[in-house]
Amino acid sequence: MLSRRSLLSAAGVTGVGLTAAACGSSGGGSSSDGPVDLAAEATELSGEITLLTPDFTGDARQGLDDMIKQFTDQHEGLKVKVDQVAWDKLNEKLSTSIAGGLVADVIMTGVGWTPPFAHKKIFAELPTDYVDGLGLDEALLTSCRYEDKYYSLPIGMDLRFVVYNKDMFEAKGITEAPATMEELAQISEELTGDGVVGFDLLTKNIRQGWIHMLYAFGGTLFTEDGLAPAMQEEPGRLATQWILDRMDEGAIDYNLQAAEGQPTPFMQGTAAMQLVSTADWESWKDMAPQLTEEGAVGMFLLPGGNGNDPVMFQGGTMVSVGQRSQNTDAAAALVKHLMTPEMLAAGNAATGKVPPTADIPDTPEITDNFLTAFALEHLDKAGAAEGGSAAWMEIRGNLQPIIEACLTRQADVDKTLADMEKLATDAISRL
Amino acid sequence: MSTTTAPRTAGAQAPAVTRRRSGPRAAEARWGMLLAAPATIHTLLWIGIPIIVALVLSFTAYDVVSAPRFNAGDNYAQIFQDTIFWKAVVNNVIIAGVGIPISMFLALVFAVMLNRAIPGRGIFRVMVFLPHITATVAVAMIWLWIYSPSSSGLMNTVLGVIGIGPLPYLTSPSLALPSVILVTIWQGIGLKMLIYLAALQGVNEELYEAADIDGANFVQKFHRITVPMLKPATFFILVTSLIANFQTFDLIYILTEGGPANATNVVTYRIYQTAFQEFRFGLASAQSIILLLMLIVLTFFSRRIVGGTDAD
Amino acid sequence: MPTETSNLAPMGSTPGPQLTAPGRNPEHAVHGRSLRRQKKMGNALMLLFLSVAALIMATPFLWMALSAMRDPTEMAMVPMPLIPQDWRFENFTETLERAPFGIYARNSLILASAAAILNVTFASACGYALAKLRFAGSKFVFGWIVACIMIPFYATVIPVFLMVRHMPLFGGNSIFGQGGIGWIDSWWALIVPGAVSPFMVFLFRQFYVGTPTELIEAARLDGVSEFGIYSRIITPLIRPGLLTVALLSFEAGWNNFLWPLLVTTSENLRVIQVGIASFRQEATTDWHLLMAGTTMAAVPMIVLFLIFQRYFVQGFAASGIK
Repeated sequence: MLSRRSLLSAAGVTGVGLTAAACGSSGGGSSSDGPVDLAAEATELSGEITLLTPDFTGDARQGLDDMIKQFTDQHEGLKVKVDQVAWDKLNEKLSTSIAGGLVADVIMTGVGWTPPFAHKKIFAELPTDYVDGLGLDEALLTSCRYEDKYYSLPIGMDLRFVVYNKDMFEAKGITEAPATMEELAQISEELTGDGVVGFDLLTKNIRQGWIHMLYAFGGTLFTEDGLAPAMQEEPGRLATQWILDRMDEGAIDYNLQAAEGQPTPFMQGTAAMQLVSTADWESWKDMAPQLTEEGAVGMFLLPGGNGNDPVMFQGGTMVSVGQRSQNTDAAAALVKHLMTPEMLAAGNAATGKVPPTADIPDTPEITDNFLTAFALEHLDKAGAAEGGSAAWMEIRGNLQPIIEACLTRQADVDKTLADMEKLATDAISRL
Repeated sequence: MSTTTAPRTAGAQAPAVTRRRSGPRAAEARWGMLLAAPATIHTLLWIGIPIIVALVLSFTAYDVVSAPRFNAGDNYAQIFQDTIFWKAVVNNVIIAGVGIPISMFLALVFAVMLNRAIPGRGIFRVMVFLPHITATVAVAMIWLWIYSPSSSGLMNTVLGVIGIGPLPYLTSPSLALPSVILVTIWQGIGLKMLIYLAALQGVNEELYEAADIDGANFVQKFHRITVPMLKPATFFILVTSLIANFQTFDLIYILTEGGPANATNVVTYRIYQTAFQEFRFGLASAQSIILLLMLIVLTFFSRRIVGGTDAD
Repeated sequence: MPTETSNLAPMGSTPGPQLTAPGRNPEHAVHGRSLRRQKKMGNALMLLFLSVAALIMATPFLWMALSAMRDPTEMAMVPMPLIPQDWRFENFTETLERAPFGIYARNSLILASAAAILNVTFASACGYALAKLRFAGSKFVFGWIVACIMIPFYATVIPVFLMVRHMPLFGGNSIFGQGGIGWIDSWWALIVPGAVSPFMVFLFRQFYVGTPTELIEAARLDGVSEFGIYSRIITPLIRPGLLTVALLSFEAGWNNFLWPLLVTTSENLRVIQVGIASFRQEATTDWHLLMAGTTMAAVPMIVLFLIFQRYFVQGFAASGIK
């Protein structure tokens, strides 16, 4: 008869064994030093590889399936399995699959994820000459690097700049887009009133909006090597103060945030300007199609402050090869395929995300979508981005509450910057 | 019975009797274990082993990628200094302390009313249970609309009728937690009502009839008969609600992401952040163990509050 | 099989004392009439309260159902009209076309049914044993079950994942569980870990505690086996409990989201909530489709509940063998 004691000890032994298994599966995997080999002959590749992606949901899935079919047609003997996860569950999926030793062969993640995962040896290195040969903008390539090597490629971007309501500009006699932060501050204030807020900075994402401002003032999140925080320096102070000043004037309203899936104040006419993303096009088409008409809205890049250049924020999807893949050759070939101009155009047609280069076949999605067209025109200005340190995953979640505490006046600027610095330094020290 | 056997075997007469008594008792004990075995073994396997693993991991630094690295009580020491974690605990306590009693009371009222034969009873019951059936994600997103800070948001429209100006429910540090509590109350009533309804079926009708004869009114019957008879159910609901409260996740995740500035951060969300956003599983395991200990203590206290109930 | 008590009139719906014939005792007659009026007014008030309260409870769901038939451009209108101006029933068909919901629904149905059946079977057995049988270790088991409920999902998700992945001799694994993928991407992983919920065991125990022990003693004297007592005599007494657990387990399986997402990669093992989640994208949300999808997913649950709640009627549980 099973006694209580024997049951417990059996459980204990299994528990310890499981932990050992965790150790075992984590350390393994075929990890060869050096970049993946992209020169493997098409006919040599065989097997089944998995693609983990948070994009291409719903309708767009067909587009992805088509793109993959074109790949498998060229490589008989190779099969691709798509594992689709919701964006907000990508973390869980990646962690559990890493813990279980079952990471996908090709992985799509977000901007800022590359240094941490490269550091953890989850992403495989991509050959420098291949990446250079793609002719992508330097601004986009910074997010792909870790320790001067490439570990991911931008496949579908989401770029941010400012749109404005032309009628409201006219009504207040504003004829030119602001060229500096000071000018932006001025017209924000002018446009505020009668139930309209001048500038909606925070609706998209508070943390990313703040980071965009940081870069606009010439700052960066981290130092070049990613081993020390730089967000608390003078540009960070100026950016934070600028936002607080606008809030004092009423030009930015902290409470005027549109929650997920809701129409933004700009769409409803209660904000004169908004920091939008190219991805907003989809919801404009659905909920406020009048905004998608030619010339309906005006656009300008977020101007620089303190003498800096205007800057665009880059978010989006990056694609990488899994370091622990059992079939890195095939995985690399798939990545190479997805980065060809035709496939980039197809990806854009399916997801609406901006391709990383303008050198692709024209599609109606690009030409009709003036947000994307604007972004492509100014791709070289896409200097603001999240990440830049191998400790970013630990930092980003806790950065938002610190910013919120500041914007809700629970912490002054000095304390906020000090908290940020401490958060970053602690996280980096644990690397 | 022969008594030639030596006194050594005292009780030579007894065997016949004890055998008869131990028969059914032994069967009962045997069947007790047999019936309880599948569930016990299943949970020991699928919950017990993971919890042991979590316990072991709580003494390590584990980022999933590399093997766990033993770091003694470092994680626990860190938790005691983690102000955000304790703020999350306080939030949970507030949500529980305010939300659960209100939710239980309303559920009981609904259950008692909907136990009677009134027209449309089935429809009413469904309406009260709807919040529980609908997936939390959708529920949370609808409440995002209701709580929209513009004057056209549903809550603002309703409160505007009595002159309360448009309020920023989810972005104000002082209003966010109460707003979340309201949603938890709303969502929690359905399940509690269901359990109370089921429990009410077992309350003896004759008690009410006797009270009717004595001329008791509705409130008196409720107070003197219904509530005491439902004490076991109340205890059950209290304990499970407390535990469920400390496991609220999806709702917070979508409504506020723990903000603004951790005003609505709760323990499970903190564990999730630590584990899956920061990739610090050792620390997350330690946090889970602390949560488990807190809940065990809370359960003991609940028994004191509701009073010892039968066979508990 | 003991007879169930007849469906007695629920309290309050009949006027006061029925034991005295009217006219026999004038005081009682008067008392009875005003009591009747009081009860009528009480009933009316109660109905009013219920209508308002139930409406408040159901408003978000009604709003969701209305939005499911709404044109997305109405969402941006200020103020947003309550009743859709432009009824769009195509939302429902569009939703179904977006993802293979037929497969998802089938999978969710299998998961939910399995959860309901397994829980009702094994949790009731354990609940009964804990409530009514004396055996060694019963206190330990009870404490253990309650402790199990307290363990947060995220604390155990990785160890459980590891167990599923390293299940020996499945999915290409060796006897030590190495080398293959174990139960990943299979029905085992979806059904087994959650097959018996400690919450349901606790709930069942609660129901069983209320059953009369005298019945059990009597049955034993009659020579009925222990299993027979459990299955044929006592368990039928707690039909509301059985229904409650079946309903709750089904609902949990039906709305399950994260675990299926983690342990499966193939589309044809994904569940309804995964399909609905695809309407929430990183940058946009297809509101009208999300609402339509969620409304459709809720309908089976509503129907089930409407059916089952009919059994929650006064007197359905035996109140004794008197």
